[in-house]
Amino acid sequence: MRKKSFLSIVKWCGAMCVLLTLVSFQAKDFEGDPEAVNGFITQMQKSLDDVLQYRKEGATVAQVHRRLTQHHSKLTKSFPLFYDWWLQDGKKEDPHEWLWQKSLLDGINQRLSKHGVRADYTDVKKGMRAYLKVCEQRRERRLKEFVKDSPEILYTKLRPLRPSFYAYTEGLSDARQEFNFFPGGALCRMKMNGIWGKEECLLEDEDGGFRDLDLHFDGEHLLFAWKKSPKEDDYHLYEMNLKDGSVRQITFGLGNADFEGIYLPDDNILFNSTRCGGASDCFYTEVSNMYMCDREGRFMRQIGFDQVHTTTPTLLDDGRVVYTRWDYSDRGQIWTQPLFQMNADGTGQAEYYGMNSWFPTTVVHTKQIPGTRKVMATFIGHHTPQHGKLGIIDPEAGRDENEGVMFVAPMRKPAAVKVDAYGQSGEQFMYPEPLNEREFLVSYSPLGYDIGNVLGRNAMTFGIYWMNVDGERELLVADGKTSCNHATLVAPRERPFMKASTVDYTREDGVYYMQNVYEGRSMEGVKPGTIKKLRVVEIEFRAATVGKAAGGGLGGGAMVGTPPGVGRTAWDLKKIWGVVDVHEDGSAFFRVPARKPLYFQALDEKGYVVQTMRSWSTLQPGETQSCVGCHEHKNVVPMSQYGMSMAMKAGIQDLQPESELGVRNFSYMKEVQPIWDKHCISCHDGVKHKLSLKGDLKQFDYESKRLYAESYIHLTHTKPELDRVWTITAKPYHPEVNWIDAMSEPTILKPYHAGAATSNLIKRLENGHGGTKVSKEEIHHVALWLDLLVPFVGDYRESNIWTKEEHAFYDYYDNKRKIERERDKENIRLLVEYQKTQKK
Amino acid sequence: MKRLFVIVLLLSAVVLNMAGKSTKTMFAADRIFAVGDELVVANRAAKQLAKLSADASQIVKTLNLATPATDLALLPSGDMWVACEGNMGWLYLVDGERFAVRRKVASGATPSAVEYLAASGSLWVAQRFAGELWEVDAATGEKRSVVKVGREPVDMVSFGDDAYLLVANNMPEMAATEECVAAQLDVVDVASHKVVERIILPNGSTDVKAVAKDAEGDYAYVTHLLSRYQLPTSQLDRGWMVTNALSIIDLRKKQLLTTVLLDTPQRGAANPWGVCVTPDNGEVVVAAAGSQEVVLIDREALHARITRAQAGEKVTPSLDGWENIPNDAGFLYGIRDFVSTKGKGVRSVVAVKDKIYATNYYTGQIAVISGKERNVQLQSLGTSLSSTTVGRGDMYFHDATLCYQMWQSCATCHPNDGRVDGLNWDLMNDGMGNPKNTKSLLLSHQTAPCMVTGIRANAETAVRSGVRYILFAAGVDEKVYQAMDEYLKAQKPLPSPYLVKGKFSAAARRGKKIFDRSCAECHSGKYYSDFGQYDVAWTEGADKGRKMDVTHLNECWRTAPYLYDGRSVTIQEMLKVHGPHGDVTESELNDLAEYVLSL
Repeated sequence: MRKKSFLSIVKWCGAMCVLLTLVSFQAKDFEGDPEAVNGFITQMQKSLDDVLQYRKEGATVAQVHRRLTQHHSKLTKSFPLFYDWWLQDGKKEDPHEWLWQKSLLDGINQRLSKHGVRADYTDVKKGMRAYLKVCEQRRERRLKEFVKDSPEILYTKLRPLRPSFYAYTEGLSDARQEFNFFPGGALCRMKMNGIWGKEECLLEDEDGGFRDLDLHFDGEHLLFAWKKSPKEDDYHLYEMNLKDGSVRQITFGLGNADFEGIYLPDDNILFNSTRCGGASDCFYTEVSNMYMCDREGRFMRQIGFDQVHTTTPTLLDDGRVVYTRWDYSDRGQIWTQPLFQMNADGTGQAEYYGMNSWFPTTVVHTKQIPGTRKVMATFIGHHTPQHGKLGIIDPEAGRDENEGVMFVAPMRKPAAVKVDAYGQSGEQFMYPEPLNEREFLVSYSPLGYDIGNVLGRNAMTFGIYWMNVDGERELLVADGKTSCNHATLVAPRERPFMKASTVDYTREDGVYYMQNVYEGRSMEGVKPGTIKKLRVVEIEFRAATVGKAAGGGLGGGAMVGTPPGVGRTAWDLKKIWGVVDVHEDGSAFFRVPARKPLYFQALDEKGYVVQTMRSWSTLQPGETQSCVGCHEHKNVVPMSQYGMSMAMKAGIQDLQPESELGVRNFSYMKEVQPIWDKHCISCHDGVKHKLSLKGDLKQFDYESKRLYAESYIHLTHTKPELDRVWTITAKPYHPEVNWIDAMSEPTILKPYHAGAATSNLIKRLENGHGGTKVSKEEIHHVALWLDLLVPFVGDYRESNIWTKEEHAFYDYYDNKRKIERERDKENIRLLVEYQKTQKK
Repeated sequence: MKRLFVIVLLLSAVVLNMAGKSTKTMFAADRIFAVGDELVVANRAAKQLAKLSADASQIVKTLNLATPATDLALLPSGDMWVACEGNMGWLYLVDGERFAVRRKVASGATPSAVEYLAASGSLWVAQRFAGELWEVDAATGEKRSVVKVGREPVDMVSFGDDAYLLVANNMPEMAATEECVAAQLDVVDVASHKVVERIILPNGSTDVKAVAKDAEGDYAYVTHLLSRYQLPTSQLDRGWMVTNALSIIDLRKKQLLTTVLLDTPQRGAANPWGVCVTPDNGEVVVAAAGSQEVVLIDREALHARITRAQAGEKVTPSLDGWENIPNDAGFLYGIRDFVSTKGKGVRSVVAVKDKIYATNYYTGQIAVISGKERNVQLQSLGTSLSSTTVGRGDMYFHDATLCYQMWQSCATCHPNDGRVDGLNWDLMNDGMGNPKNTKSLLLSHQTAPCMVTGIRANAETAVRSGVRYILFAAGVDEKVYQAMDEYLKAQKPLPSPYLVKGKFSAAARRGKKIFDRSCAECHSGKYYSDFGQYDVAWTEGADKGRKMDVTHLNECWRTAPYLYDGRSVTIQEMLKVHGPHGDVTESELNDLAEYVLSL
């Protein structure tokens, strides 16, 4: 034998041994021929033959498609690396195409031709070997930079969840509705040795699951979430010392899920938790908000006081945290899962990207691209799992729709579309780990839903890939039975900027400063001087969902649980805190209670809403937050043309009561019905005038579990239909009585969109309709009702017709929330004491 | 013998080679000039002018000066006039060939800029602390005439075929309580020796540093801060406290075209300093001394974008009308690059052929930037200023990388070595809605307590509080603060331009008698302060009844406007509010003012 041939064989055998090592750790969970290459060829041929035969037998296209997905599944699980090479060298837009061809050899030669090498093989085995060899050489080229320092990657293994809404993933032990959790997970590490990796299992739990890895800046400690049992444990935060493998638990408590934790520059930990209590406005599920504790788990306290879920926080180099915030106060709930930001002490909660846009529907798994001011993220939908398309957001290019978005792999500008279940067709991405501007690690499924079936054993699973923005990819690790998620590169990094905290927990208030209310996109056409006051309103959240109303508008359709009104009216209870003056020059400077979700309404001289904030803002104690105007573009700086404002000269105002009722939750029966009783029902009794404004509480439907006053039902043009699912829905835009639709679009509404200023009812009252003399104060209450989106109740239990069980259900979650609030209070007290000792 | 000769020769070569680098000489260049195709730097630390090799890797010749050089102007003969600072400043005529001094002429109160105009055949010298422009004989250096310009002229360019000079004045001139507080540029008609146009920059513009023009003479580019002083200092995000700006002057119309922000919405390009335009007119290059980088703007794209904005086009998602360009931090998106100079304190830039040369003032380097990839090569030319404690403190004081998102450094509100910016700021340390005039940090370590109301126990506390509450930085090493303390302590008052040959004028001597009689009870001692706080009669609004600290008076000739809220532009105006009241004539007040201004 010649020396050259011998050496080739030795080399090839060596390569095969290495391949076998890889294939074997990947192949350990599936059946196949031990000799990988032959096994691959055999399986490929089998699949092709089977499909050809099936088609000959007259299978329909749908039937053939189902058969194809099963073959994809088998090949992916048995030969993940080879089959991925095979797919990426085929037609990207049609992964099935090779199964429609006449022979395997055609496919082989086509692929060889793409590589620019000899492509006229007549022997399948030889051809396939040649093909796999060029693929291996290509892998060497692609991974050269990445592997030069033999990197290590940490990741989890967990089956992908398919919740009805992207955020329902914490699998709470006492979950009220959906329980999304598959037991059986692992925490793994892979070390690259050349272009191949060796996997090591750090932790395994057949009853539990691991998720949400975050590496400390020292590169030696790992924060993660672990749930050890479906019903006897919940996700809690743990920290592993990567050097010795020791693990310590940081948070505790059955019945609360703590997950998605990140280290902050001062070594505190920010995490997502269900401790906030509450239920989703538009469903039954529990919600989660941001919490903070120190590295020992002490001083745990709530940071976000948000309507519904906030998820997947990430820390930027400049010390900001970016996270996803589902946000739909007084607007539809489908489109608004944008990115928000906050400082590492919880102050400065503000928009990062997409607050007033249809697109992107949801952005999650955000991570900064190192060395840049851009982030990479997964773009998904509302009613989708947490996988979809992959892209980069550059907020400096714009903050709305697709202005600042570029999709990758390959680079392209996505269309700004309105799609609920966005990003679900074709290849699927999740959990990017950007390495630099071009390269990243990512969990990826090239076939997406085209593999296996949606929920079953053969469902799509994800491998961890090296990829670049052009779409070149190399599979690093896969597991036939489950998904590999959340790739995290093990490397120390410079501690992000530690911004000085301005939070003072000895205080209970914060301050807002507004430069000029007339600046910004929400005040188009409003003459300076129009706005006289700002009303400050808090939104209060339900502890649990009992009963529902429903409705649909431009912002989508939804049920509203434990409804404050009927469908298309206020999502949450509205608590009036008071008003402050807006000076002639549009400035305002005022004090508010901290740690509350507040929103602002700009009022004209009659006290009617000109513009209202369909979101909320929260201050930390002692925080001063300033804004330019009414939703200025976030790439705009304060206006230079103005001098020192009148508000600055006048000083900070305290909230003033707007009426004799002072601070209270708005209740229709307390504030509006008495006006009809006094002035109107002598005519409007349903007999003399068929429009009854009487306050008799009646049952109008079977779903809402509430009694409503006749007057309320009539004025809101609610037409209950007792035999349909969507039973009790109002009509928000009637000329007589109108308000901003709670299912309104996410984009900014023009001033005077609807409400007291545009409702004929108010004019009738002002003009003494029917000889009535309704006072200004009384008209104010009616106007307020309209401008708060016509809530009915001021308490979630008000006017209910709940069963005993339903009461018990609500009480259980209400008490649970109360306990956590007490704990929060106590932890803050301890924190203040601790801070005093540090100052000494 | 032969062997000895060779050894001596070798030793000489080694010594000469080392001299080329002057590793023992401190090298801190804050100006770099292109003299023909050669590079000349002003080494402030060594009070030298240094000629560099073509690749900027070596100093080939040095010239010692009495005081640091601020500017130079090339004559047609190839010689150059060099302006050197000092309240008794100098002009040097330097032989271009030999790089040696031909003549040295005493000149004014800090010559800060020089420009030779072929049209007038004369030299024009900005005298910074006199607020004057001198026309000077280009052969002898003798003053011919004086034009009064604005406050602290620091740079100028000629235009209109040398018919005009655009003079950049560093500071605002008005009371800080005015609706618009901003620095102004002067257009001087050379023939008539008159200011024919004053161009006011946007409200909040201060610390104007430099001006450059394009090759056609159509536009001038002026670097300055654009402070948002009108707002409480509650946050830095999105340029809340300060933005860093480039104003564009239409030279033909002699008016401000617009002002663009060098920052992005997520980070500042702090402390814009030197500016130049590349020889091909392709880029405007700004030295951002605080954020340690050079900012390069595509000039053609910039003007095209401005033109489209003027026509009403929404050229960026954040632009709300072309008049709001100074408020749009997204305006330069896509047409600007940031290039780190890999050192500290880039103050001056010059473009020669296809390369850009930038001076890293604190780390003793010239950064050479070349190619589309913006490769940066560093040339170290001596011992760095940062090798000393005071030098390091100076460096940190000017370092915006200490600040959240690099919006500002301490030098942003306290430019010119810890002095003032002429603005009022509503700091959070004494409540809100009660802005105070920026106070000079000179002698603050010696005159505790500090700040306008004396709210900080001492300057050390104020330094640490400033970094925490104004740069929003936590976890800063104590060594940084200590170095800053040393730097500030090392600052000495400059001699007042009101002195006559270093002595009080006659009016000042008269004024001293009034001072001793009426003012020295509170304004006592060598710092003219008893360090007490008093409830003074002129507090108003939210500060009514609040006690004010007795300010020290050294160097107050340069710290206008006056009083806690900066309402008085001149000392005379201040005295009318502050007193002495009663039996004091106007003439006596003027004498008193002269004395105080001489301190």
